[in-house]
Amino acid sequence: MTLIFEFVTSLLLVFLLFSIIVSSLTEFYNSRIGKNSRAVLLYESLLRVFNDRHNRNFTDDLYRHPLIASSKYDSESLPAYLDGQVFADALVEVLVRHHRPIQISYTDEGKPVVAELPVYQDEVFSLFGDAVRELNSSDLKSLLQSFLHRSRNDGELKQAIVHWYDSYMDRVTGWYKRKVRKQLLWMSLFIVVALNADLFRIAASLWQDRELRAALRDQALAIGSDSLWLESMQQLSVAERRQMADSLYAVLLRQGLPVGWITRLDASHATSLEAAYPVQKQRTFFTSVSYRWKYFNKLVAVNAERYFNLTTILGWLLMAFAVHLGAPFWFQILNKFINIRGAGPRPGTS
Amino acid sequence: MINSHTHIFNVKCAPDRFYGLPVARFFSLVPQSARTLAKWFRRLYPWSDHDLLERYARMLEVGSERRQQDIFERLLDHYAQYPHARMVVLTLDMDFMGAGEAVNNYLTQLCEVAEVKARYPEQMIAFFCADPRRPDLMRQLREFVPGRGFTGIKLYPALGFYPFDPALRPVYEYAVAHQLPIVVHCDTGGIFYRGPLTAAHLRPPSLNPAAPSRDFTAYASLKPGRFKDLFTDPAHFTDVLELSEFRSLKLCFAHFGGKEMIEEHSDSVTGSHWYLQIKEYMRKYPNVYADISYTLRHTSGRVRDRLRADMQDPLLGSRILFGTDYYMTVREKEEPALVREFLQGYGLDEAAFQQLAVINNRRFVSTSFYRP
Repeated sequence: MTLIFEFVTSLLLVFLLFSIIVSSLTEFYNSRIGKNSRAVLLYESLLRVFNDRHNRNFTDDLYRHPLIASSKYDSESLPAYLDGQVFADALVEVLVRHHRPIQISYTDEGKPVVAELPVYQDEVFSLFGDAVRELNSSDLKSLLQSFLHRSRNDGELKQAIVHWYDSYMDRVTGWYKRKVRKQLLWMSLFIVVALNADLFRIAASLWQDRELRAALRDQALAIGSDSLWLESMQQLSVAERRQMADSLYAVLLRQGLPVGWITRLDASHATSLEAAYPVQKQRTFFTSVSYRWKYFNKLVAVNAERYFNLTTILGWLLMAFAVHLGAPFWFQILNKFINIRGAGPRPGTS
Repeated sequence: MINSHTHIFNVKCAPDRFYGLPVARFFSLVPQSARTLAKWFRRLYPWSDHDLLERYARMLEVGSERRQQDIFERLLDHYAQYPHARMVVLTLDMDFMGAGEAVNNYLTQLCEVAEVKARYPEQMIAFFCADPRRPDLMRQLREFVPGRGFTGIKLYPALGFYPFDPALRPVYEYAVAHQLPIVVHCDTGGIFYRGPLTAAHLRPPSLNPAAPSRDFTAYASLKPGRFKDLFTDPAHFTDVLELSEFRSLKLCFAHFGGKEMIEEHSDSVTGSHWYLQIKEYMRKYPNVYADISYTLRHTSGRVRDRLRADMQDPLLGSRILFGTDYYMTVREKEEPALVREFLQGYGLDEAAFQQLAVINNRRFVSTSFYRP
């Protein structure tokens, strides 16, 4: 029974630690490289509704509207969030301006004169209605008409828009979560392959190596019985979490977890290479580069021979799937598992 | 001075396969990716300002601007030394070119240009691009010319239509009635129709009842990049200009037929010689012009010699227009360098440049209601 308990807790700990590594790297990637993914998704989701091929694309008009443009960090960036009321105000004004655009006429001397007609508060509702009626038949027109059908004045119109926008944004948030989950799965796969973390090899090692199992069990009990451990982790900054992830990985390696690739050739493989490149020959630049290149090629061949098989690939896939479920998931399971065993959670500090 | 040929449409207005590869939509949604690519192009070969990567990096940078207004302002900055510089901005209707959908359709492009025109009413001379396949073409044309400040028309036959298309008759009538200038793309280069060929492409009807019936079925196996020359061929304008009501049409053949045609190196699909055809029209009809946009980058050799001779001809010299084809030209040179090297290479003095860029251009862009 102890063997199974130790095995499960240590395996859960491995999943948890790998999940933390993956989520930290994903957050680091998003904060540095893909920093606008939320903003781009918001833009794309609005584009889906307001880019009307039968009329025109109103999305850019919305984004150029001063109410929305002012929420951007700079002229290049896109806002990651938009307030419903701000969106409704901007949409109404964009449609009204579409219906009553700036006119340019020419004087008798042939000079252009720009005429911008004012829009008064009491005519906004009727102008919006005229703008919608003027549009060619399309899905967007139907949507805008549905706002009109549910309102009698501009206040109610904007309320109807806000209501639609908020529920649409709930769906957008759902899409975003799905996108992040997909991103996590790819990152997990990348990390698992990069670190050669094969689930079968790890599981076999945990089952057979008593010392490794015991060491990880102690770590798992320390982490799993502290119900606030994950919360305190999540309060760390991205850089701090990345540091934490590095140190966690170092802990796993120190305990002797079987992950990683072969990085040094053993004597049987190295001998022939050493013979072809004696030490004095390795001193010149070109022979040194050639030696390193051949050494690297041999390393790749040795690793491929040992690890590139169906079992390892399946082990990577299963490990990546488990890891992408996320640290909160594995922490919760670890925490519950320890509680069931009767270790009991450590009371939180007041 | 007036630059009679510029573009300010950004990548959002370009259909997805505008460049051949489906990348325009991606660049539209994440313009930073285009900038990053441009940066890497520069880093890969940092030793020259004229290498291919650098030139495409410049193109990517300008095209990935979020707003057309930003591109127009970049253009104006290049002409800061000319206090009354005016730019003819040619819009492009790419909705029917069979290269996928653009993030911003043509109407969106027009509305955005109209907004820029409202901000720069003096500096911008906006042209409306007419495509006979657009169902509500005349309604839109009347709305924008002159209601939203547009004062000219652009035709780009290589996008998949012939200039003698019967649907263009009301456009030509409207242009004659208001003395509107029409700029026609006329070069073997540039973007082209990428969709499937239809009966209207192979056996096209003509607006001129006296014109012989045409059958291009024999050319159907040509690649789209070659077939487009059939659309562009300036000889097709004979159908239009021969009609008495359109003899006074104000037409400008952009690029003067293009470098290959001027050098007589091109094997035109139809065998006609575009450069000579344009010159024939210029001599025969009172309002036919040609601009030297994009072609002006050749500042030596046969192209330069021939164009310079044309500029010195009393009749042709009064019908040649100065234009650059910004920002397509940033692939070759930056705008100020392009203009400077053109003036030096052609040995044009102030009076000669005045003739091309002020007198000729002003006459061409003037309409019944607008005089720059």
